[in-house]
Amino acid sequence: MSSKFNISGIVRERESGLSLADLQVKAYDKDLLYDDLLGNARTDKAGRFEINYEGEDFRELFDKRPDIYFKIMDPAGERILHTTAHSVRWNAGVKEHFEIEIPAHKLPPKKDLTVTLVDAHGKHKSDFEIAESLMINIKGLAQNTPYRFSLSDEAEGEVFHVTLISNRFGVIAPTVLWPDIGIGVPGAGGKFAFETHEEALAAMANRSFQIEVTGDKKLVAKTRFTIRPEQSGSKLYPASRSGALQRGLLLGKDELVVQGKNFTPGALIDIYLVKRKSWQAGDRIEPIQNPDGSEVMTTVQLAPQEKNFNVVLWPREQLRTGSYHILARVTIPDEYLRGERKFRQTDILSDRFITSVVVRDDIFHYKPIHQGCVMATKEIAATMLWGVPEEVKYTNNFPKGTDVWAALDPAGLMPGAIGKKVKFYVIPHKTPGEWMSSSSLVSVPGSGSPEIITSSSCVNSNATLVWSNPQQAGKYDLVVDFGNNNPDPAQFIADGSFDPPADMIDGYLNVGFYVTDDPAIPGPFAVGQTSYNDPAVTIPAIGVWAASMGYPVVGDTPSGTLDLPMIAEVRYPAAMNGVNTPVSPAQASYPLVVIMHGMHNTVDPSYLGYNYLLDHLASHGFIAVSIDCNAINDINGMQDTRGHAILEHLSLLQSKNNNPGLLFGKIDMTHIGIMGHSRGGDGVVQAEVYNQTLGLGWNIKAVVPLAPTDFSGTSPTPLNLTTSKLFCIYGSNDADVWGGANPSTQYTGTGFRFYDRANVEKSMAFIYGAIHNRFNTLWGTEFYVDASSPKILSAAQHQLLLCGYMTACMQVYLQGRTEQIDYLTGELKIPAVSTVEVHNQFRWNSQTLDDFETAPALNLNSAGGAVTFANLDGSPQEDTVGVIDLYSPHQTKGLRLKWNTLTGTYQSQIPLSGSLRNLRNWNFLSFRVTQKVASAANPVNQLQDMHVRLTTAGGGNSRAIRVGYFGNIPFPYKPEYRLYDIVTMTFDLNSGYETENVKAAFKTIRIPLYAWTIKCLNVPIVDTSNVEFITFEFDHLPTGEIEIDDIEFTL
Amino acid sequence: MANVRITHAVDPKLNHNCEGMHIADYILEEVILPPTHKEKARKCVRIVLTGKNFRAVAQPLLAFVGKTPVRFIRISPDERSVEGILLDMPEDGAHVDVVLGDQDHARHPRSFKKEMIRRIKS
Repeated sequence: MSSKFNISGIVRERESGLSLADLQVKAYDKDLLYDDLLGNARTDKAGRFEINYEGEDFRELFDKRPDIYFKIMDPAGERILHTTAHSVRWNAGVKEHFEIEIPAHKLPPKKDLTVTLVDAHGKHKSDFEIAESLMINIKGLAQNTPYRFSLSDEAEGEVFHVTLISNRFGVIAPTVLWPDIGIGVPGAGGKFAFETHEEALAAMANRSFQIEVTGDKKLVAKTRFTIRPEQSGSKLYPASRSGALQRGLLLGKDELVVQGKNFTPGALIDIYLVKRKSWQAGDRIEPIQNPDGSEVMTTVQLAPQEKNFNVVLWPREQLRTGSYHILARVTIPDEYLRGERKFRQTDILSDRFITSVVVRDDIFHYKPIHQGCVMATKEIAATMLWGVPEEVKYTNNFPKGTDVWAALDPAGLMPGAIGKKVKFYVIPHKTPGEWMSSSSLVSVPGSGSPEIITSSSCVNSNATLVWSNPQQAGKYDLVVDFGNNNPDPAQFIADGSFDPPADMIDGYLNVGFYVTDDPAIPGPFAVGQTSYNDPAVTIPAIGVWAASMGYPVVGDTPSGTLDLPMIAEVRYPAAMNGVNTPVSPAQASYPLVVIMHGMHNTVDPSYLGYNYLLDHLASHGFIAVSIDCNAINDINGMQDTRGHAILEHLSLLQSKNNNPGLLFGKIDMTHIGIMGHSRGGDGVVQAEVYNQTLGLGWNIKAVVPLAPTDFSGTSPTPLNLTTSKLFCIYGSNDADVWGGANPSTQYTGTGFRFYDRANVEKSMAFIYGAIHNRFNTLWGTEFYVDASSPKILSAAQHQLLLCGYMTACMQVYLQGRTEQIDYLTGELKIPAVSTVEVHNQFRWNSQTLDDFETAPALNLNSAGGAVTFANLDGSPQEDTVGVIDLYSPHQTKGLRLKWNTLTGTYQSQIPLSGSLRNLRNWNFLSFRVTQKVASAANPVNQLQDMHVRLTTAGGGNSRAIRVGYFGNIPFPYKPEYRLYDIVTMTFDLNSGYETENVKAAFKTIRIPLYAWTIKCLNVPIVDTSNVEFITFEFDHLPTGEIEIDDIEFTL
Repeated sequence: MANVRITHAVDPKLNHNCEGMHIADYILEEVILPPTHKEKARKCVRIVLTGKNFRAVAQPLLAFVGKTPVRFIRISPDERSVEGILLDMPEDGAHVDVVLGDQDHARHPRSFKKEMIRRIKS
């Protein structure tokens, strides 16, 4: 019998709380693959809706209760205004009620000017309490225009003013105007900046403040608010022992004290420290844990007359960096489900919209130039993720049209910088020479120069729009000008100059941020669709032999040949979308990309599983072809047969280019890229090897093995690539080409070995959480993947990543768009999936100091210079990395270093030979590095870090740069597989031998050489025309064990 | 409460594994391998293994009868059978194994005997 379910709810504008009528509400059941539409409804005048549905609407195998989320559409049902997909209500009951809040900026624009004041819980208000944060939201302004916000009191006059800029829609999205009203930074100046609530309340209760908004010297709006004389409801604050609000804590110095106000006298209160997040009723409460596994929580028993309390929640010695909320539950002894770890409506949360408390480390420890006084940071330029609450996401990649925000993380602010007013500038990225000649700041046309007052409370309080809708691709820095550095914000005067150490900058030592063409969004061309099914050709099927592994020839046929039907799916830039529509006349011809699938059962037409990629490439101006290799799969074929198949299709495509037909004269056969997945990856490498060794003359410019096998690496003389560029893509959670338990069993190999053996310009993206099959839409998920793991990327993420990286690669090598190379070096991430961790290797023209292949001894580098080391834990080890580290997926030699003191060093000399010491023709110091797997010296799940010092010859100037600023050295990824455990005879997660598939995967760190020459207070400039030593200084973490390879200077 | 089922623990000795590779049976027959430009036509043994989860994936699926490899392996589209050729005669008593890279390994309980081969009538 079918069950009946009911959903009801109300939709409101978040900031104002006003109900929203006439919107379409669609309810979905979230599933692993395809979400089911449960039903839809339209909101009534009161914003209410109701949906009834039956069990059959959502029920799948094992699905007993729906996991509900909503999409809210505009009245016409054409545009999604808002989705709650990020806060699914799991295992919903028969009857559920929802309150959906939509940020105002997502709603269709209103023509009238509206000014809204909002509190830290996102509620519209006209009266605020002490220590609340006041935010402002305005619609109906002129586009991309600066506005001055002056906050004044009748008696005291102007308290402060700030400048904010409107976006392309004439909206100033909710922005903090006055964080922690009435509470100031101890010792700092400013009106209405008291230390405690009590002082603030005594001075400010019932006071009325006015906000005037002026633009172009005209008053455009004004509004008022008052300060409430008492506090409503129970409140939680992070505080000092003396009772002063303290949202920023310093590691090793402070402790977290929680101040509770206005609780029921005599109440019993459980208090938890939790991660900062968007809390919804029903969310799981996972208290922060101490290193010993205990939870950060406490219980307070108030005396019968007591309403307030101060309690130490987190002692100084236990504190850890992060952003947190504080959560309290009023309870009674022996209450049923007292400790239930689900967030209840009645639970008290310290804040919703902003972070309650930030614990930061000593920022001097993390400065990029050791002992230098330039406040360079990567964390200013950001995008704003509009959710509840908004979330700042730091990035350096802004696809054209993406608003650029500046957000100062309180954790990265010097204590003296809190509570001051600052002005932001977006400037073109400057060279050291340009900085030397002028420190003046001139904003990029189109960007604004807003001013805000810094807060210690939350990054959201320090966030403001600086550039709406940028359209000029390029490299930029974002500067924070503290001007006259006056502690009273009302006295602030910007000076328009970058003046360390007070001013801060996102950039300087490297590019602050890029405005780019996003390779993962569809290109400008319409897409034409065609296919071909031509007569079969006979190709060799010799197979491969892994005799060294004790395996027979695989992939051959008795005749040694195979008849391959010439079948392929084609997409191309077209005059209009459609089947066999004419090729676009925009260009005379278009580069060719040929794609080959890998081994899979022959039921599925695997070659159709990349149609999404073909469409995407075609929209970017490529003729993209996916070839059918099921005939090869039928014989368990290997890379030899697959390589021949690629070449046969190139012949056929050349024939189509030379003869009348749809593609006649439209294929640019001088620019060919080939991509192969799995065994197809092996195949495309082999195709290029045949092309080179047999002198076939195909103009293959780029070879992309995707999650490739490497059977050729098992032969006694592995094959090298010597001309076309290589870009390898591989997932850390691949459960098919997983690389084997250790080098001795890695006969399938992985892309790491291709990268190692390629003697060409090469790059590799190692994508954390990516698996083998999800790049092909027909392959599903490989059996051994633990698909339930949150570490595993979705199919959509796989496809976005592949579209982005493939397009960027082909743009660089087939279209000559060299600016996109930063996607291959790892400097840029694919914007839509930028939270996915990707670690890149990259190598091209270079002057090698040490590749550890040719050095005859540990005390000499490859260039012939002396190598010395001091205070290391044992002697460094130079050998094949697979010997150094059983978990290495590589085939090269390298160096292992271990230290247990902060004075450990490893120094390599550039010999006085020719012009080797003159580095001015090179742009980067580059090396590959990884943490050693299973080394007790590497703290679990922590990044490694160190400094690299360059020293001018003859004992001249030297400067040390922190490696972690330019690229982190991650703790090795632990794959999550489901394997059959022979001992327990079950399919276990994370047990058994899968731990052996952790990889010591090298990544390339590239540090611009101008980091050693750019001016920096207190630190000398290195003469890069005469550098004698490079020294790794292990003074950042007390212990560590790493492997290093390919120390070189590159373009 | 009328529909309560009594459940029983599964004896671990049953080694029940629905997801793993499994050889249910195998057959052997003598066949003639056609001539190639290198070799004349010759007799050999065709082996067909039936079962389940013979996965066609990047990792190579290999089969052996004792130390004799099964050559020219082909996996059926439904991944429920594998066939190939024994170019050399295995020893009596050899095990029949299917190996999926380093991920799975199945062995049939019945060992090989030459008399199991269905011979060509001639």
